[in-house]
Amino acid sequence: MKRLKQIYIFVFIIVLGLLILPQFNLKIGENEFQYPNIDFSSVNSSATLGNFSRGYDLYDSKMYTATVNVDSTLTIEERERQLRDLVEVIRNRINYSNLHDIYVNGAIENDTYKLNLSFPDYIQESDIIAKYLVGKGEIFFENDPQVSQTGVALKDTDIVGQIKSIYDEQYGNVLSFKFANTALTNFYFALQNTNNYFLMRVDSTYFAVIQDPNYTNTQSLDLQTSAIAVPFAEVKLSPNVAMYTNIVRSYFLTSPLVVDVNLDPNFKTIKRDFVADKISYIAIFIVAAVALLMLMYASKKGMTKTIKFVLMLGSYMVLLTFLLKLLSATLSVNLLLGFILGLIIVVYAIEKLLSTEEDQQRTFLNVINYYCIFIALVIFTIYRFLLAGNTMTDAFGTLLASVISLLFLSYVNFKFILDLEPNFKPFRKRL
Amino acid sequence: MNRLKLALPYITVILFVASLGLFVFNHGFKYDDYENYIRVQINGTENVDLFIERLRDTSGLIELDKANNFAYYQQVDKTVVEENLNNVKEDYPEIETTVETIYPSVSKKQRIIDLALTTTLIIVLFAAFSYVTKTRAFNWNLKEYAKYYGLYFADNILSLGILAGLVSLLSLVYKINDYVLFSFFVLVIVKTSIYWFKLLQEDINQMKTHFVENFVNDSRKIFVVALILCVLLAVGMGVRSVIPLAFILVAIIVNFLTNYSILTFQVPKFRRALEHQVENREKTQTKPEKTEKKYVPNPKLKKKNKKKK
Repeated sequence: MKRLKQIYIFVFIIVLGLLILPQFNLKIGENEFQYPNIDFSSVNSSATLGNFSRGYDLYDSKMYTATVNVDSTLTIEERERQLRDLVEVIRNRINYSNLHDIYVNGAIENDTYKLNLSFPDYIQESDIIAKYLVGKGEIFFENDPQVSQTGVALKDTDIVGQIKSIYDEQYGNVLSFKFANTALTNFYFALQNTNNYFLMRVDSTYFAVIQDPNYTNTQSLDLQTSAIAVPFAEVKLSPNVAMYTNIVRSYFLTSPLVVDVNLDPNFKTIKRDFVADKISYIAIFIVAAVALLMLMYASKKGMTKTIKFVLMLGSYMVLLTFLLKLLSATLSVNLLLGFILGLIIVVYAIEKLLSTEEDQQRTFLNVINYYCIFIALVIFTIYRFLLAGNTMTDAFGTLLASVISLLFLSYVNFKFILDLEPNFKPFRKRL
Repeated sequence: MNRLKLALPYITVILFVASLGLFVFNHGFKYDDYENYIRVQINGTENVDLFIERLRDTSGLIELDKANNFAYYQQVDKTVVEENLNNVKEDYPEIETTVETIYPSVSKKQRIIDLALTTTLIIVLFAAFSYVTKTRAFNWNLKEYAKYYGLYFADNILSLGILAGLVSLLSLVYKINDYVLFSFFVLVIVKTSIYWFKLLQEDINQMKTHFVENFVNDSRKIFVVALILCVLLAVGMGVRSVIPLAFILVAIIVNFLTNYSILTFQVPKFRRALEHQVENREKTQTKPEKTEKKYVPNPKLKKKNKKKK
């Protein structure tokens, strides 16, 4: 059993250590292999094993500007209030769409409002996302003129309950919602055409609304007025289709914009803030810092404890980096700040654990578990109440990943490592 | 050194009061991301760097972004900024500037209220979690809990106050942003971890011995780890990273200061009484030996005296 535990620890560190390596290509003869080539999309559709997504400050970012003509009859206070409301609506859309890496702020330049939308480097099709975010958000239901000429007597206010952005096996990313039971007749009437669908127009984008396939299968009365809205080809074929349906979903949850916003399709590149051309140095300096801590520990404690310290810290480093890559974290200065705080806590916890009397170490592992659960609750609280649209989301997200890693390790790996009895004299004579 | 140690609690309290005063006087932070500020975009084919350098001494300037050719101003009227720009433009007529007022998405008041509410919520969570554990696992009563965990709350209030003052001071020359928010939570989370690992594993009798030394040693260890990580990362990230990383170190130093001050603090009257009590105890411990020698009757002497008679 001890041998198994030893094997597990080393396999854990080696396998995760290999999985967190940056992306590279290997050419053997005529064959070229890309590493890593493992699909983790079933865990997270945007998992970025290989390289981190490129975040703010460490990489260049993009800034789009949208302008609004100011009503000249408004006073300065009214203008400021209107601009704040405008920014608030867009910020809510960003939050509801889970696009927390996009930031918005408002500016007044002479007689124009300016909305500055910042995008990190990794977001693709940022121009289309920006267009959706500043869209007016007006929703209409109508019949496809090629199918039927009659009107549809449904409004977005007829929708009740949650509006979900879901993945349907048949239709892909769609919006799912339910009309009020009072709108049943109008809903059925709208579907009475040869193709059994009607259109949902969101600004200039169209969705086909059909009855929820689950109703067709189960005939459940609860689902009688349920519908799904399937995006048309221009959106459906985009790699960001889930993102767009999420933004459209946010239109239902926020009030429409009261003014027309003109988006400039050209963006300004905001150059990186911290380092120039030496991103990989950061990883080297982090590894050097951790190695220095290990050396310092080794100089004060015995070899047995040092080996346990190295194995525990090594397990933590590989697990945390793996989790961050799996959850498609963006590499930014804020992520590094969260990483440092997590590392400080973990080094401190491991040091305390190893300096505890051997018979008390199991109890101390429980103490660590309680602490991790407590900190996880705290971060959840901070996230819920403080971090909406905040730039520190990355830092606290990383800290959360740190305590979850520590919780897992203290349940499994640390227990095994504590049981290890390192033997430094493999060639000693056996008596 | 001993005098400094004795004075440290008083210095901490003075720092706390001064910090609160500065915080109130400064209306929180002077330059920050939570209020309107003016952004000037500088464009031109040549002399842009020289133009930006000339802006360095203009009033209300808080930041020059040379990479993107932006100048940021705060707490100054837009017309004053435009006037300054026009003065500099006389020497560089080829340069074009765009002045815009930027409005933050979160107000300063909202940010401070959010911060206070969240910190309170964390402390309440800590209290609930630790009280349940202590009373269930170690059979502490409420009085014992309040005595030892009261230190945690007092410690947090003191250190958060001092950190707020320091940040407010920094905001006189530097634009404060959400890194400040992070430093507050570094402080609370580090402090919580020290208390948690210390108080949760030990019962009250174990805890009473070497109470102060343990806490202070732990703070020192955390500071050393943070220093190594921050210094090496700052080297990797460049000079601009020093300020956010320094927030972490400052938060840990403030934690160390308040931990030491709170745990060693004794009101002078009580301290004198305590010292007096210790001296008395020492005396009473030595007295019985002397009295034994004094009053033990010497049988030989008794016999001699009898013979003389």
